[in-house]
Amino acid sequence: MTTRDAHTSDVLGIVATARRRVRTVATLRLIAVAAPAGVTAGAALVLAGWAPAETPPVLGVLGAIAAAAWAAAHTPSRAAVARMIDARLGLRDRVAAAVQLHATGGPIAALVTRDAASRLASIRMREVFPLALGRAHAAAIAVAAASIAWLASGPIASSGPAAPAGSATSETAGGESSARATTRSQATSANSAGRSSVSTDAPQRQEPHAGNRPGNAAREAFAPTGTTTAPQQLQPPATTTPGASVNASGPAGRAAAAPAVASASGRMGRGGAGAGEIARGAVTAGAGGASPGSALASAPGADAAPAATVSYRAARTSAESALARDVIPPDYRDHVRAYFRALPASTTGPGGTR
Amino acid sequence: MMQTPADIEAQAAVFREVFDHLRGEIGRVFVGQRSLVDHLLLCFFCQGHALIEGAPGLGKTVLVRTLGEALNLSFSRIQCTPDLMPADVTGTNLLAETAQGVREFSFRRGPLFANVVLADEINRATPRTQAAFLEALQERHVTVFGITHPIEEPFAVFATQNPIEMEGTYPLPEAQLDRFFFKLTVETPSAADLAEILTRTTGSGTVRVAARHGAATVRAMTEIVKQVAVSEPALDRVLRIIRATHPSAEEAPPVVRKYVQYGASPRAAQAMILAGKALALLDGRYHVAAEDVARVALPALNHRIIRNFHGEMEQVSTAAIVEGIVAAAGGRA
Repeated sequence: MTTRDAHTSDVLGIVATARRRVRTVATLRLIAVAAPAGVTAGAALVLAGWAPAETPPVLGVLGAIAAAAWAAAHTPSRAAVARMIDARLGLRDRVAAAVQLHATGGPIAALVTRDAASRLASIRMREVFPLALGRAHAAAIAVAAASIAWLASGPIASSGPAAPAGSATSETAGGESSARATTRSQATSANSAGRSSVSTDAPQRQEPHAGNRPGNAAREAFAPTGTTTAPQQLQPPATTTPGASVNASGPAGRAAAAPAVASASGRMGRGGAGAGEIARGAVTAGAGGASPGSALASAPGADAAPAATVSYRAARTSAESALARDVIPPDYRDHVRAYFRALPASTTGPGGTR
Repeated sequence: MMQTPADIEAQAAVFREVFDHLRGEIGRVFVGQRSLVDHLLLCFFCQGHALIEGAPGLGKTVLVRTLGEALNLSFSRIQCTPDLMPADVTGTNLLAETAQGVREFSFRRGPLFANVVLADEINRATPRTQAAFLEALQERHVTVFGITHPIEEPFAVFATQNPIEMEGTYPLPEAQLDRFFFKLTVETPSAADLAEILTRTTGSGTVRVAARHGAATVRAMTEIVKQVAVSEPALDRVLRIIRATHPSAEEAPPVVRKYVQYGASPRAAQAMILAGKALALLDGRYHVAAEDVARVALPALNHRIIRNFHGEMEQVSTAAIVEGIVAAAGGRA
């Protein structure tokens, strides 16, 4: 290889590297806009009730793919990249001339190529074409993140798909809408909150709903008619994983069995009352997680439920206190005790904190 | 003979050295006006002709004469007047007797046959005489009585004209103006430059210009200038600039649409490219950059843009128009 060929190879190699870099930067910048835009649009569709909850991430991924495809299709030519390098480095068209003349012969072409190669020798393309996201990109990402966070904390959590246990109750509930389920969830929460003398760790943000359905549902659901199956259902269900429990407001996770109780009692219309009863029994299990039908505590959608942490020990202390004060009906006391005894050590954690 | 890159580099080094030498020697005689001197030298090494405009007494003649002297070239001056005839410029056939006693016509060369020609106040010559310059300017030869006499290279005509005394003059037609590579304007010197001029010219000492190189060197320099490559961005810039000078063109800026009647010819593009090549060599490059052509846009377009009635009435300068054109084409004049 002659010296001129080496210089030509150097220049063309650097320009090719720069071209890849330009494409990468353009792709990432476009993705930084398109993906958040897709997520935001998906969130808007979900909020409008026009699309399922999985839409935002799907649209985000589609946006990213479209952005990458567009960037790949619009990658600037080698000559254009050479001009960009010249402009950014103030090389007075040295690289453009070298790329233009590399195929021609003659001493001038050799000199031009050598000149460009010497100028580009110490250049790092990462510095020439930095990946810097502007305010628009940051704003798009922030909007998308806010959309996801808001969906996760609000409507999506309430209207998420039912858990296996909840599925059974949903059938019992006769296909009630998620909106109603949400209302019932709030009612159950209100029930728990209304009995906050026992359940001190109930999420405070549920209190505004306290007046919606003041605990009647819970009482009805715990009527003796449904109690034949309730004790079994109150055993910690296999679906009550630690993660789900955490997302389902702590004890509410364990109260996931409550809807099943309601279903057994054929009164799922006031579903979640079982949990409410537990709450009344000072287990606090009735908090949000006792949502009827939807059975948030054990459902996949429970991942989007309001986060709350309740101390296992505090719950147990409260339950013991309730048992001591005869707050819990005699027929259910054994079930409460059995419930706490049945809790596996792994779910209570080393400190008993759920 | 095939040149190697080393040969080109050596010639480019000589070009820079000659250019610097001329700058220095002219600077010893002609005070200030660095841009004017540079443009004059660029024009000369591109083998173009320049029209130098300026008020009397600003040193136009000194500038051109010094150029010829510093390069050890033949120099002639033609003082144009209304009674100047074409034969006075080109030369004519004279009846003469040979050594054998035979009488025959022999061509007696006129003052145009020189390496550097100063046509002083060319606008005072009649159109007939001005036309006599046309062939020499463009074709670089003179035809007398049907016989063509080539003019030796290097050949450059530097014509001057006085912009303030228009009475009794014959303004050069556009066709003849277009044959000038550059139009250069000699500005009134600054106070500091004027003081320096007075110091140098009113004493007893005289400045002697050091003559070096010669016609062969200049010819070699003009060849090396032509070999410089033109990058695509530079070519694009030239095309955009030339297109923007035409008021009917899509690329024309508002200042052109409003004040220009006729735009620049392809000769303007040639001048910009050639001068850009010389600038690139001076900068140590072997290709013309877009910035180079923008730097020589004003002298190349100065006399090729014809203002319309509004432009002349509002006294819009050609420099302002060219500045707008270059800005519209993506550069800075």
